[in-house]
Amino acid sequence: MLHEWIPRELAFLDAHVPTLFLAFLLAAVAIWLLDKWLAAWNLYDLVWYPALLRVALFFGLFSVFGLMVY
Amino acid sequence: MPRINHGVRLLAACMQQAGADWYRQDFPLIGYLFKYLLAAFLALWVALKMEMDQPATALLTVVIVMHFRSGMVMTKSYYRLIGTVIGILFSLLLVAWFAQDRFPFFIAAALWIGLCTAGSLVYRNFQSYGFVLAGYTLCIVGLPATLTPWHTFQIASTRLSEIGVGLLSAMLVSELILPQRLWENIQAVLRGKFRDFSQLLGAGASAGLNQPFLKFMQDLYQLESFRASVQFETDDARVHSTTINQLNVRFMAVSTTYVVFQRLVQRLQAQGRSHEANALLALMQPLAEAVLIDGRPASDAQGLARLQQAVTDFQLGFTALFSRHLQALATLPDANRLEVETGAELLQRLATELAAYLQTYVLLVAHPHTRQVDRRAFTADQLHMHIDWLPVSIAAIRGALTLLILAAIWMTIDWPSGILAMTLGVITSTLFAASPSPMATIRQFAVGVLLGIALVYVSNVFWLTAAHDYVMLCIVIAPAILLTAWLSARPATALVGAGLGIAYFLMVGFNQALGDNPVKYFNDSIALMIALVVSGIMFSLTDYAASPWAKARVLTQLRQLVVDACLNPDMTATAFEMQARDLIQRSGNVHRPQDADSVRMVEALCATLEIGHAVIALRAVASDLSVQPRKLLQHTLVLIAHYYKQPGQKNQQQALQWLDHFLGWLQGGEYDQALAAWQAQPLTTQLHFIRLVIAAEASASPHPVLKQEAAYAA
Repeated sequence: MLHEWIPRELAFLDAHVPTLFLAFLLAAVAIWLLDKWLAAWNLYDLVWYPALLRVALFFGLFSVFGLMVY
Repeated sequence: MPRINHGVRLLAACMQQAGADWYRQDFPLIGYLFKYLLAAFLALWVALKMEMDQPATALLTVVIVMHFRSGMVMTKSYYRLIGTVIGILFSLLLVAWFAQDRFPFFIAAALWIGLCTAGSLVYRNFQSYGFVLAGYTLCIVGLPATLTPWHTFQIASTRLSEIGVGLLSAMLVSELILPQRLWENIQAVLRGKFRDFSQLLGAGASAGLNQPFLKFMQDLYQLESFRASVQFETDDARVHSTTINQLNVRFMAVSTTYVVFQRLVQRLQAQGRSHEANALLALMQPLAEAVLIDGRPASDAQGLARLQQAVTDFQLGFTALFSRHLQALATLPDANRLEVETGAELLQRLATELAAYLQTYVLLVAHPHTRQVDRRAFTADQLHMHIDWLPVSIAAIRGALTLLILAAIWMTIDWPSGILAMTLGVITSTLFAASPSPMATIRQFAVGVLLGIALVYVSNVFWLTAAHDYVMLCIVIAPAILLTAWLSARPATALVGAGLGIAYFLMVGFNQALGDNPVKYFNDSIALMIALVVSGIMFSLTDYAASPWAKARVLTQLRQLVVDACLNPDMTATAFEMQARDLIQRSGNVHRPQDADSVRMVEALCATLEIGHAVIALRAVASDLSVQPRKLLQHTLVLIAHYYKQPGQKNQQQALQWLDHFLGWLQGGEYDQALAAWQAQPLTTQLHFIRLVIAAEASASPHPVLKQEAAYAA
């Protein structure tokens, strides 16, 4: 499985950073791109509560990345 | 019985109306207070759960970034994060370099604060905020780290996590719960601006043009500050960012042309040439009638469509109308045809620009869902900035000196709360650097800080000692949070709220150990006061914007812009206009429309725009001429530039004589080989207009401050 390959902590300039933090950043960037795309295509018009969708998507993606680590 | 029924129905209607009013006006505020509390409690809970050193830092972050509008919170948080990360990186560097010696450390820190202050003055909106936080972060990370350099990294990472927790809770709560969108605000400003302008166009200005023009300018910058925050919105606002920008640029053009036209009419009237002035006003009449429908600006889609049609009709029928008026004028004995032609050209430009403005406006207001301006299709991007380095360097030196003075006090008397004083000193000197009247700002902020100090006393001594769990802790801090939120939601007391929030959460006693320590409390309070006094003194010593010298400088710079417009071939009309407006906006003299000074500044701005646009139009004409007339035009531009560089009787006469000579040559018809008739016509009107403007400068006092100086020298 994937989590056997990925270490729980990464050394960044000799400082130990949790991989989860990296997953967080990755998810944030991914959601940012997705969000731009959704807005450009007016897809938010179809959604009842765009902000909720955005947050939910972020947490979904973050959880997926997190589960890859653990 | 029917009467009772009627009464009940009336009562119900009243209640419904009152309820609707309450929901529209007061409910958002209550919702905001609730959101504020929720964000703070969430941040506190997470920070305590993760056993962070200073949960108060997370709370302070929430207090700093919370805003009424959700999009603003996102933008503020974004820049806060960037500012914090950069500040932390610099703190790490600083401690690594100079931890062993305090003098170079403070010199480097002062340079950094100077840089941050300068940055906060150069940039607008929340970008400016990022610089404030880069400076502030040095104080909360770099300074404590000097006491225990071996813990620097730990301090930095903990502070960063605390700030992150605060940012995330603020963003989450303001996005998800009762989000307040910017789009409604933007639309309200757009509609208001259109209404005001229609009224001005339709009914004329009763109290002079300067005040409406000032109002338009402020709306423009407000819109720009909203536009800067729409990148993080989910609704239509973001899609229309470019459209709003285009609307801004087009509105700027049309309002300037209108003001220039009216100034021409006023000038003609003042010279007693009422025939020409009346002819011009009569020419404009159809346009003025079309703009107001039954005395009211168009508000719905049909009204706007009719207005667009009317403007097109006006453009198409203009030539016929114009020749009719010219014929009528020809019967009068001493009428000057050229002046009417000049005005007619301005009117045609006004109609074209109005049509363009209406096109974008209709797009935004009537069909926001269907279309928008593509970013690639419109590139006259960004408001051009005009940066004056003198006030920026003064502010930078002030920021650096404030830090050095507080550091000196800290070192000489070995005072335990020096870091706190430096923190507040840096916050005030960076945050208020761009304020138009810093002393009033500091005073308001100080009131907030004093309130905060009083509240901290009550909290620390009476309440915190009884707080045994998370819920009790929440109850203890709730009053301070509510008060901060309420004060900062109202524009009149926003600074008091900021002072209160910052002072309270800098001092509140639940970092590391809960409870009160009277010695620390008094030390901290004195530290905050000293910081306020020092930065107050520094601000009053270097209050550049209020000095008469600064105003004279602004006037000189406006003239310099005209010189640039004459000589610099890259200067476009939009860039010129934006730079002139930005210069006046930044000078801080235009925030009070009733003030005599601000009216004078706007007057100077209008005069600059008038001549600048004329010169740029002249340069545009010059581009497709043959060699001989182009040389003549070059000479004209050089003379005008010379006059604006060194205003004076002699240079003015020189420019006027040359213009007369040139005009005589054009009107004499001796240009046969060099020019076609269709080229000569716009050239003549343009030159005549410039001549009118320059000649009018003589009757107005050339330069009040210069005059004063001249009197003083004599």
